[in-house]
Amino acid sequence: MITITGDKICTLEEFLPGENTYEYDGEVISTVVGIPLKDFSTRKVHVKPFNEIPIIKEGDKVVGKIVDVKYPAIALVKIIKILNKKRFVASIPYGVLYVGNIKNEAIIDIRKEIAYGDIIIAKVIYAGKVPVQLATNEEDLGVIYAYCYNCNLPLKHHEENKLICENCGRIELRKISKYYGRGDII
Amino acid sequence: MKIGKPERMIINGKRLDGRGLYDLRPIKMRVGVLKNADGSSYLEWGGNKILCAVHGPRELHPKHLAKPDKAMLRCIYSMATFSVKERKKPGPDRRSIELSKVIREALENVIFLHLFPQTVIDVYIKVLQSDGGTRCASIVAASLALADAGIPMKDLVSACAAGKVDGEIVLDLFEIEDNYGEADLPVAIVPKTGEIVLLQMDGNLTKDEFKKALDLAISGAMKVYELQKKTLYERYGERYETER
Repeated sequence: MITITGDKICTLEEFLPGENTYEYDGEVISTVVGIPLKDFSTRKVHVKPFNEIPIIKEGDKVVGKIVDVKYPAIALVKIIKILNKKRFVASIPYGVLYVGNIKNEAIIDIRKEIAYGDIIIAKVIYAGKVPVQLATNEEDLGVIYAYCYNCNLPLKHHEENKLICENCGRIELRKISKYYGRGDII
Repeated sequence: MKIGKPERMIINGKRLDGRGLYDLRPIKMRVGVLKNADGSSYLEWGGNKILCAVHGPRELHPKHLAKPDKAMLRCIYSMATFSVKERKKPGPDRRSIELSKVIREALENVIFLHLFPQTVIDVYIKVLQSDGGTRCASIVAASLALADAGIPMKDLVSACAAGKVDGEIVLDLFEIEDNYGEADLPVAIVPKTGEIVLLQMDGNLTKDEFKKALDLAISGAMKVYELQKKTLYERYGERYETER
């Protein structure tokens, strides 16, 4: 069974309005096109939309670009999208990456882990405030694309946490994701 | 090139296109027609052909326009150069700007904009072919595209026009009646709550004629509403069956 925008799902005596619903004249009405889901533990009815609007939540993996690095401890990230979702995020797309959340080791200088212009995959660890807090302390999280500081060309993966510029030979350090260089996964 | 005014527009109770006084033109609706838009719809209403796309909610540029407590709704109504008999000069003009405004104000009443602060929802309406009554058709198409985009709304917005032709109140005016009729009354409603979200009038009607025309337009809008619901059920019913 599906409901469309403006459809009556049930009366207020049966269930309370949950996500994507509202109450009008003693009836619970759907606000989106989707599937109604009745939660008997909370006595609420929700509607799961067919075309969901992505909103950043805790636990989501996001793709972002580093727009500022504040020595010694903070990087500001502009979130481009939630991983594996087609639509752009419907909230203020900024996140903060603290030095302690970059990896599970002590970091002396944030500039040796991340740099301006890097594309990263990060996990949202707190979404209660804007900007949201991000972390990259897992194997699949970290930098997936980076550019050379000298010649602004894409860097290639060289060793464990080292990237090399094929043009000038410069070696740069990063917290690299295991998906480095793979644009297809986003 | 405009067609000259016909001597009579109602002959033996029939209008020039063969309809009765209270008949709607044939309507066809489709949703999800554009791959790259978040939501889209295509509407054929008599000779009107309208394509509508919705993007968002997404980050708003320029950022100083962003509202801290709600999303901004931007509607852009435009007519294709080939949509009318004489070439329409491209770009916004006085009429397009007015229609964009009235459509936006009609839709703002139903969308839960407070759920997406500091963002924008863009609604692009393109009239591919015009045959009178495009503002009502645009509202219907935009409402379907918004529903297709998954944007939370109180209800769909439905619209229809009534008017006065040869001294008779008629429903759903087409181009000739629109140009040479005595009055035109486009109405948009929210069927669930019965609110009127658009009411404009061009021409003169007496108080009784106005009441009759308003009731007729609302009854027409209710018929269109049923078609809107049917379109969404068909589209998403199929998807639901295939996903199950």
